[in-house]
Amino acid sequence: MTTCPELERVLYIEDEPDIRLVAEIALRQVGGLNVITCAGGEEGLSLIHDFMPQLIILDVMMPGMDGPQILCKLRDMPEFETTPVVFITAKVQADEVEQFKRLGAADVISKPFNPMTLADDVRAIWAACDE
Amino acid sequence: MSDRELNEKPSVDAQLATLQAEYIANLYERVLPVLSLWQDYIASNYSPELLRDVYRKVHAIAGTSSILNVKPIDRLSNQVQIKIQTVLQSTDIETTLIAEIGLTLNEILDVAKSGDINAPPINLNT
Repeated sequence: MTTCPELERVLYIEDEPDIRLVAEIALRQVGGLNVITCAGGEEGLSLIHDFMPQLIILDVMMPGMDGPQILCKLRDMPEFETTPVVFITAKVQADEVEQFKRLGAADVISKPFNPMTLADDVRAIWAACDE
Repeated sequence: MSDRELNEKPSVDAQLATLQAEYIANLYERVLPVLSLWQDYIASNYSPELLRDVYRKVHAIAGTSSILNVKPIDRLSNQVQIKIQTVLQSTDIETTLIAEIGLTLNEILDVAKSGDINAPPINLNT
């Protein structure tokens, strides 16, 4: 029997600076995770090999590369073809959640997220990926 | 991090409150370009591409306002998003809806300019 390794490294790509700051507080200070946040896909993909995130959170609507486009790029990288990806988006409908999962997302977190429980939500998704 | 650093670090609540206050203080400067883009959209004789640009900017304001608990802006910007989606999906020029969007965008600007915004604390532990 294998046990799920502890989640430590999370990459969060989000174009809104205020939301990045809230996410850093939520994931790093409240949740104790090692988090890198980036403003866009190009920046995120440029540092991903150095950081080797275990889980990646993507905003859906961003200028330039949007979340689904970044996911496609990740799936073309052998090191990240199975890395859990979580989309984060505003007021998501049930059919949209299914659509994102068909694209390969592990799960979807809706905005507004609760800063006090975001890390727990992410850890729960991480644990479910191992089941 | 040392115990001293931990003790000196502001609480999560305090950091979130600061972020919220700074966002409200800078909101007018952030909304102003959206109104400018909206004027470009009207002047362009309703270019769908410009309307999609307006949508993206309003979407960003809505998302940040919802997370920072800036409720009036969250509510108004969501109204605008829904109406823009309807206009984008319509084959006709929805003049009534377009007028309503313009009015709501100006309302957002007025609220942002006043600075008198109902924004409960972000961290509710709920």
